[in-house]
Amino acid sequence: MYLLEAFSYLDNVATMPNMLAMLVGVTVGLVIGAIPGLSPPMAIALMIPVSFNLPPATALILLVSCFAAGIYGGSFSAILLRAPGTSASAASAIEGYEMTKRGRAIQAIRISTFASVIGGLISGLVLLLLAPPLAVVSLWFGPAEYFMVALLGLTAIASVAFGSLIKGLISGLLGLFLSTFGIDTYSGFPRLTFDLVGLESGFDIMPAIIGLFAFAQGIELCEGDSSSNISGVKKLSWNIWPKYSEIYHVRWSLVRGWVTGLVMGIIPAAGGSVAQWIAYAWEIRRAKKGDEFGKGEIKGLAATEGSNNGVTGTSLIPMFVLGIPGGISAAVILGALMIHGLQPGMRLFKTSPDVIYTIMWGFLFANVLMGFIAVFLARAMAYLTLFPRGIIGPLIMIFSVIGTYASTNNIYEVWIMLGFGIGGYYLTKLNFVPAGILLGIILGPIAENGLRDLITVSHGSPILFTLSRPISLTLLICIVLAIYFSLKPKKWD
Amino acid sequence: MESNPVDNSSVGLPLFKAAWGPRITGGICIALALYFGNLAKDFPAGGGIFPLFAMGGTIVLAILLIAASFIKTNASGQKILRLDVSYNSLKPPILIFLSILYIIAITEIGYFTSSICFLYITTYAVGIRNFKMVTLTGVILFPTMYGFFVYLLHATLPAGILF
Repeated sequence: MYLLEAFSYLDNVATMPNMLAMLVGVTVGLVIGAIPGLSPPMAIALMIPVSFNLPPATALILLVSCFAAGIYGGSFSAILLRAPGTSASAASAIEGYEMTKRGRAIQAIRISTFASVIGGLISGLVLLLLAPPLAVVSLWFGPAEYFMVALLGLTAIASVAFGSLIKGLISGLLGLFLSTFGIDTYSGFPRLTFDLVGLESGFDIMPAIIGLFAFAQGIELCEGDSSSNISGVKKLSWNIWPKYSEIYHVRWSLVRGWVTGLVMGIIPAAGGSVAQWIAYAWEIRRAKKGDEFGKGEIKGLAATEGSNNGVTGTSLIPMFVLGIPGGISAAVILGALMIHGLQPGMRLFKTSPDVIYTIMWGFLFANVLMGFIAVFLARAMAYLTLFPRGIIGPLIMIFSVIGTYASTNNIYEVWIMLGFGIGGYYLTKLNFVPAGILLGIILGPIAENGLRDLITVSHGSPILFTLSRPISLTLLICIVLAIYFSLKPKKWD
Repeated sequence: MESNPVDNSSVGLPLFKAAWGPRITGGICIALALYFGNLAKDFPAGGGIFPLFAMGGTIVLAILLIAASFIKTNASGQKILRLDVSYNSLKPPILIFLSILYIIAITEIGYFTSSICFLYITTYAVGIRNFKMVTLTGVILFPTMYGFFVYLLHATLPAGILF
C-alpha cells in the first residue's frame, strides 16, 4: 500500500518547472561543492531565496538536488587537486589524488561518478521506500551509541596511518585535542582560548580541511619543477563511461561504501564526514596482496565515493519523518520546508503525500542528472591537472583564502586556516598524518559530548550502561574487530 | 669491501643522525603535552577529561616513538640529516611568508588587488616565467571570482583602501 502510494506520484516529477529546478540545483551544487570552503549548506542557503516563489515540491526539489550534487562536487577538487571541496570528500583526496598524480585522473573521476550516482540512487530509493520505518532507528541512538560511533570512526586512524602507526595515532590525538579548544558547551568555561576572541568558538572543520589539505597542497605543488604538471601527462584521454572490468574489480568496495553510507546517514550528526573514513578504513583492513592503498588504490576511492553519496538520501529520513535534521544541510532544508508551510513528521505523509513523494522522486532523478552534468564539468576541471604546478599551487592558495573567508566571513578563520596549512605541510614532511588530525577534529565533539552525556545518564556506570544496550554493544564489538583487523599483520607484510 | 651504510653524500649543512629525528619529535611532543595537560587539569565540570586523555595518550605514544628509535638501529638511522639551503628547499618558507603578507594585505589593501599581486609574486618566486599564461589566468579568473562571490554569493569580501 505504502509502496504503491509512492509510485503513484512518479509522474508528478516530470514537469518542466521540476526538471528546471533539478538542472539549476545540480549545476549550482556541483560548482559550489567543487570550491574548497564553499559547502553544500551554503549552496542550499543560496537557493532558498530563489525557491520562495516556487510551488513547495519544486522548491524542495531545487534544494535537495543542490544537496546531492554539492556532496559529489567536492570530490572533483579532492581527486584532481587534493583540495577537498567538502568535509565529506576529504578521504577521497588520499587515493583520488594519488591516481591523478599517476596519470589516472579520468579513471578516478569515472569511478567516482559511478559510485556517487549509484550510491545517491540507492540512498534515494531507501528514502522513498523505507523512510517511516527507518526513521525509528535514529531514535534508538543515545549518548552511548554516539560515543561508540565516534570511537568506531577513530579506529580508522590506525588504518590511514600509512607511514608510521605511532605518528598516525599521535595525529589523531592531536586532532582530538584541537577539537576541545573553545568555550565548553557544558560549563561555559573557555578552554585553551588564551584570551583570543577568534579561538572562543574553537576550531571549525572547514578551515581545518582547507588548511590541512588544500593550502598545504598549494605549497607542495610549488616545490620542485614548477613548470611540470600534476598528472605527468601532456594529454588526457577522455572516456568517462565506466568499464565493466573496472566496476567488477571494485564491486565489493562499492557495496561496502554504499552500505556504510546508507547506515551512517540515518544516524543524526554522523553523515558523510564520518562515513567516508569508516568505509575507507574498512577497505584498508580487507586489503589483498597487490593492493596499493595510499598510492592510488581504486578500491579505496570507490568505497569513499560510494559512502559519501550513499549518505545523502538516508540523512534526509530523520528530517522528513521526525523533524530531526541529521546535519547542517538537512537543517537548512528543514527550514525551507517550514517556510513553505510544511510541518515535518509522519503527518506530512498523510496531509501532503503529493509534495513529499514528488520531492523524493525529484531527489532520485537529480542523482541521474548529476551524473550527466558531472561529465562536462569534470572534463573542464580535469584540464587543471595539465596546468604548470607553479601556477596551480598559488591558485589553490588564493582559493583557500577566499573559500575560508566567504564561508565564515571572519578573518580569524583565515589565520586559523593558514596555521593548519603550515602545520599540515610540515607535519606531512615528518610522516605525521593530516587525515588523522582531521578525523580527530571531526569526531572529537561527538565523542566528548557522547561520553559526558553517557556518564550523566548512566549515573556513573557508563560501561554497564553501554553493554546493556543492543546497538552500543554491537558497535563495541565492531570496534574490537576493527582494532583487531587494523593491527593484525598481513600475510605478505 | 663492505659498503658504508652512512650516506654522507647529500648536499647541505650536516645536522644530526636520522635516528635522532624521532627522539627530538618525541621530546617536543612530550613537552607540549605536559604544558597543555597542565593547563587542562583545572577545567571545571569534567571539561578536562578529553584534553587530558589526548595529552596522556600523546605522552605514551611519544615514549614509544623514542623507544622504537633505540630498538630499530638500521642503516637509515645512521644517515646524517642535512639542512638543505638550496633555493628549491627555501620555496615553502618563502611561500608561507608571502601568504602571511597576503592575508594582512587583503584587509588593508583589498582582496582583489592583493590577490593579483600575490599571483604574480608567488608564480615568479616559484620559477614561472611565462607571464602571458599568468596574465591570462588572472584575466579569466579574477572577474569570474568577482562575479561569483560578489554577485551570486553576495559575499562581503575585504575591500581595503583599494579594491
